[in-house]
Amino acid sequence: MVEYLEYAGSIFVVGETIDERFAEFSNLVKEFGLSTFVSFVMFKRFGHTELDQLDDADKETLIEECQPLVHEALIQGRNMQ
Amino acid sequence: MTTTSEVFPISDLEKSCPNRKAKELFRLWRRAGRDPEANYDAFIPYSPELLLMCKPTKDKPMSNLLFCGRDSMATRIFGEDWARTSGKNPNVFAPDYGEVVGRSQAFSLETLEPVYDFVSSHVGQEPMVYERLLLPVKTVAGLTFLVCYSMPLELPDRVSFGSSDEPQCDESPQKTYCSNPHPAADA
Repeated sequence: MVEYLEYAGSIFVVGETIDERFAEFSNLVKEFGLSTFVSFVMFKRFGHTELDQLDDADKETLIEECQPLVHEALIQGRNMQ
Repeated sequence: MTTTSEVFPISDLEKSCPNRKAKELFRLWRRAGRDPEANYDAFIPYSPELLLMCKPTKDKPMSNLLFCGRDSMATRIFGEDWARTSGKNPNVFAPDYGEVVGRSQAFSLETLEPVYDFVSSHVGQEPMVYERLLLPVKTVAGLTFLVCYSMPLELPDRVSFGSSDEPQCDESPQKTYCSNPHPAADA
């Protein structure tokens, strides 16, 4: 089960497994139209932008590095509702 | 010492800016804006030199930084560790830096218009002078962000941080990209 946890002013995606967290992360990226900006991070960290080439450690890294972006997207999304 | 900025007409970018990447990014931004899907993937190859930002906070400069390319001006000055920490360290900047540089950011986000401006400030006692191209981007979900490309004119040496978090400039030389096409703005 995936939840959103607010801690120290930031919003984190929390789930038991990396597959759960990454699935939710991918949903958020698609829903908010963030794929270009996630690609910025992937290009920097991994030198490519292919999500299906990421192993679990890469997925954790990507979620962590995109946390400020996801946080901002969730905040803007809330404000639009 | 204080921070100053000057906004140039965006037409100056094409007329007098010698930086080809800035011109190309602006061209790509205009083209993406006409795309109903608002696809900005053409920016990806340029991302190592870009910043991605959200709405600025006046008293916390760079706290709105969401992504910092490894070859961006900020990473070159402050290092990768600084660029990765989400809280950043506002103490490295002049006291008025956040307010001054945030004006153009806020304007661009509110109007969804690009901004080409000039910023003169300092880090410690060292000058930090650059031009910026701010490109507002709106996602298919209606979220807005800023893509920033900085063009250094005069930079401090690489900054390191001691235990006091006070910026300390290294002695290695720092390169700049281009000469200032707007010398009047230096005065």
